[in-house]
Amino acid sequence: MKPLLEVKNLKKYFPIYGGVFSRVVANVKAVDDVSFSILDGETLSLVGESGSGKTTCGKSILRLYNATSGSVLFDGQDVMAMQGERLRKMRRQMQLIFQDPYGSLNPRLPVGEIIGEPLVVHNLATAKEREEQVMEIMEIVGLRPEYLHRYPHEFSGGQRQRIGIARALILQPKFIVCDEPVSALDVSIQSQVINLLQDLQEKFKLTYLFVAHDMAVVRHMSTRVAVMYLGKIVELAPGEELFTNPMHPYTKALLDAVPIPDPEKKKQRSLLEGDIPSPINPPRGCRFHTRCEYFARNKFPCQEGNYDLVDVGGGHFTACPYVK
Amino acid sequence: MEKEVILDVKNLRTYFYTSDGVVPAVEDVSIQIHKGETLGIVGESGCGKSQTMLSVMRLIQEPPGKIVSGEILFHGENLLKIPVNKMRRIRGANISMIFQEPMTSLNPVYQVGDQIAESLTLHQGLRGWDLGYRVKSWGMFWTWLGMLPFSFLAPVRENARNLKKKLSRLKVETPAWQRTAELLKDVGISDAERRLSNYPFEMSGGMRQRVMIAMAMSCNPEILIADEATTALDVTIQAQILELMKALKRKYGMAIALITHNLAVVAEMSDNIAVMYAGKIVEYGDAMSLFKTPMHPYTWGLLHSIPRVDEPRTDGKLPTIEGMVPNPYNLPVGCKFHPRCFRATQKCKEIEPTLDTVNGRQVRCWNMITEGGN
Repeated sequence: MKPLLEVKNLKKYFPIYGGVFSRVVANVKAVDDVSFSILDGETLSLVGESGSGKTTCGKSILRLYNATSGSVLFDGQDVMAMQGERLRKMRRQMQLIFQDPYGSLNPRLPVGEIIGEPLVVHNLATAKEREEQVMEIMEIVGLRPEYLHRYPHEFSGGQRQRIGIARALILQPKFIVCDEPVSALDVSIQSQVINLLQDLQEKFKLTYLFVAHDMAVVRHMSTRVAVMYLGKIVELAPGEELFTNPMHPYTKALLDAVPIPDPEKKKQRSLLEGDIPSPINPPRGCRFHTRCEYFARNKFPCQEGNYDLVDVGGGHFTACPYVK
Repeated sequence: MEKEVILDVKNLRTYFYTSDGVVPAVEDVSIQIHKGETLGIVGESGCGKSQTMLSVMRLIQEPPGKIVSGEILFHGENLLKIPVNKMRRIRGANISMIFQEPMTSLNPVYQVGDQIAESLTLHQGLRGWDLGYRVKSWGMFWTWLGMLPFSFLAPVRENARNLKKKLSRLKVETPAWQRTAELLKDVGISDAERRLSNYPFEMSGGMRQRVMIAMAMSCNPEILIADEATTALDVTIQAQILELMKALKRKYGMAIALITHNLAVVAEMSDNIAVMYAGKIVEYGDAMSLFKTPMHPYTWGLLHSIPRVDEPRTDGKLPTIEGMVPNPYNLPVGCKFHPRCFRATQKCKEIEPTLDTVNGRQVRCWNMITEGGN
């Protein structure tokens, strides 16, 4: 199958200004040389701790941030090189679902207008058609079409997330970036939204880039998973493969840290020491070596050199050449 | 083996009287905490889990809130009957609490050492905490005076520097400060002596939560209430904090009341679990058996609707609990859960179920899931 989206050497640095003349004194390397591709109809998950650059990566792909360098090919066309009208047209194909269902809806617009706004922006329908389409899409995401004229504050968190999903879907995109779509929701509502996302994927043949930190949700949703640490992908593997056979020490530690909802499975875990280092001045060599237990024990030469993803077979890539 | 009950909450009711009506945030809740055990209180937002424990601490804002009835027996003494100043002595010393947001619960303009030492001075009479404040106010006074551009103030500038140094040195030697350093080492902060004079913004989220725990642990409380203490943290940091709480529990034999919505965290930590829904306890019992054979349909739904990280992916859909949490101003008649329940019958819509004890577990349901049934 051909990839729908190809990301090549994507970099996004946020400059820090300082000194008398506000010169760039340092860069926050939020995304540092990331490459991956997403196949048509699959769900690729990006996981990692906060500050690992997963959201920045998603937003750079959509051109919500202008990437520092690198290219993103969507359907064979370079998104990074697009300008003006072409970019606007391209954006119909790529939409975003936000994390915070409270912050991402305009409190002063009725829901019908929020959901229909993309149609206005892209000038795709008359007022009457717009209302019809909005009602249709509301039905699909499980909102009652009568609620068209209500305001966001009248809805619960789960319903607001459905509004956000409806807004993303109304342009019939091919590709959706889901930025932590369930982490702000209550436990019983989470499963409803997860099921909805899966239904929609089946129905509209959507491709997801699923940005999340909840490993359980990721295991349930993903075709493939990419693990990010300090702006780099350290491991990329098919979903089940990653969870049953994690190779990179960071992935192992991350999976170890996840608590399991079963009191009979009390496990011995190897704890990660310390916090994620600053992305302004990331560690040399392998970025994870400051917290890596294998490095601490075996003294591999991790402080020097480049650690890029290496294929170990079966579509499994890892950035650690020492630990298998 | 029956352990000593240190906290016995009986039929607690906490209502909020707002302009839109009365909200029964906590309705007829009875829980017990034994010495050295961990009680997990689980539920979705708005189910009253935090309000229950805030009532125990008597930290409900009044008005609009009010503890309407019930008893909170701490070592047999009813906390609702004792005067405020006595309650203030118990808070922090015997029962202490850590909150979800480690940033907002620390004061940004004081060094963390001063903030931990505060409770030591107040509750245990260790000298030292007031010195931190004196360093700040006097140091600032002399510094600002010295900033005036007059040459005859040169000795003042010198004096300000000396005073600041002297007071800081004095502070470090006080018993409260020394004990604070020990506490920080206890919660696993390396280089504790230096970290004491850090301000909260100089620390990471996990580190701040450790400071909060050190503060809560400072007087060796018998009960530590952790209100969503790990929710704002990353999984790797969450695992560190949970391990730390377990270790401290073993070391000091304190009881923990763990308020969370994360079932996995509860499973890992708790001996007993209370599941709350719409202000009431719907299921309450031993953690092992509750996870193995949930009897209330809500508990069953919660346990089955979360995706599992430890089990292979299923192709089917997740079972869900339909609908959403009811509006607290307008709770359904009968069982509060019946509009979302897959086992609801006519009886559930009319009569509120009672909290019955079955095999040592309390369940509030007319059609509870028994092992023989479906």
